[in-house]
Amino acid sequence: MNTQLSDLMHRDVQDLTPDLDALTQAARRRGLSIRRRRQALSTLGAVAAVAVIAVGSTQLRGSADSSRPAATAPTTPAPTTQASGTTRLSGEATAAGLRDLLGEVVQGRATSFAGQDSTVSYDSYGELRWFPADGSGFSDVGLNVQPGFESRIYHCQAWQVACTVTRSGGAKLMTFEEVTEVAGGKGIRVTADLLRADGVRVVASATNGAELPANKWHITRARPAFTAQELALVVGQSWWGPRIPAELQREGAALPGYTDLDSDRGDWLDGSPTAKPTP
Amino acid sequence: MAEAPSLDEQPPGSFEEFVHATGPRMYRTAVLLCGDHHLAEDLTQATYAKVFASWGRVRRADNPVAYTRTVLTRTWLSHRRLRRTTEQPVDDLPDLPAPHPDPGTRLDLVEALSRLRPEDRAVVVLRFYLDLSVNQTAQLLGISDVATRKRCSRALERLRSMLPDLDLEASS
Repeated sequence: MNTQLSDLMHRDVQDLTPDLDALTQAARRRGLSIRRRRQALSTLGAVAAVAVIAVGSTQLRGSADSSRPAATAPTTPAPTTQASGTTRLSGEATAAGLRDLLGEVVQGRATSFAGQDSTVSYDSYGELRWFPADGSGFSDVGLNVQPGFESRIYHCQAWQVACTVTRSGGAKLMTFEEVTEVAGGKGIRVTADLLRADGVRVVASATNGAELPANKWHITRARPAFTAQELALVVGQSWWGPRIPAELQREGAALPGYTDLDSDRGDWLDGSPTAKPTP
Repeated sequence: MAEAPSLDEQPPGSFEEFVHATGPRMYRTAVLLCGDHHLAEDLTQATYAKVFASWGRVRRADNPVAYTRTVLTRTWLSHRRLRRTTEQPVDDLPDLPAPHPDPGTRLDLVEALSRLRPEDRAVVVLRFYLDLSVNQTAQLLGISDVATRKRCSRALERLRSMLPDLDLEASS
């Protein structure tokens, strides 16, 4: 057989057709959700800007007239929510949960929260940048939660460094490192990959810097800030699953500067065709 | 092949019409990128959700289909974060199972594509399924023409090993 690749591609998928009515309806629903989120964010931004301006101008007045106390920022009461219960795991809740767990292992602070989730597969992803309290360089840490994993073979492969596989009570845990030779050193990503007996897979990884496009790295430290064993503790937290405590969602909603990795706003439409892809 | 009529040169009417005209091709592209029908369904839905969220701008764009195609590819590359450690691209061909000797049960193309590095796979799908030029592919992925050619060459080399009966010379 002497087949052109292009022809073969077309032939292999030509019979696949999605349910277009269902696709349209689902896309509309998700699209409306994106619009609502944008509107909420722009409203929040406007309110925050007003508050900053108000506080700034009041403090300026206060400093000019030392006899008057400087005003403090108005506090907004937290929205009332149900005290208990669970909710669907989201990207922001994943990032919040990850932050909480990492803080129990290594003292420090987190920035650059981001994540994404899927309403079809119920997968969720959260990431953050962790700055250890000892002042050493940051680590980028990410965590995937993937419910409904029927099976997966856990065995170490040649490219995995310091790889271990352990099995316990129907669960499988694999830890390993990926090492990338780059200018100025080695980019290291340490990973803990847990498949629980209930089919929920939780994977966490931490780097020794920032992994950049085109296989480049900005190395900030010799080793990631978290060991494989510490990441194993993180993925072993029982709350990870398709539904999580509502409190975690509330924490996620309050994450400062959270970025939805799927929120492509199409801004690049009006800009250069080579604008930076998202993300 | 019963492809929907091209909307490249004419502005779309309603969002529904646009999805019906372009959805099948976008979905098939998603299947080639994902190698997984379930994930492809999610990717296609996420793509059109973004298109709908910006519909006013999209329908006024010079080429709404190109816009949607770009959203699809970029969303997929972004989506990979969710499964980053699920799909480990295999760099060393010896790690791959040898192609089955019986042509009747040869390795499926979609499966072979799924064994490429995602970035390489994107180049192959854009070039050979969507028939984009090297320059168009490079612009969509935000990489140089040289990098595009390099990825394409690397991908074809791997596909050639997995699908020895494929005429890749003519394709490239």
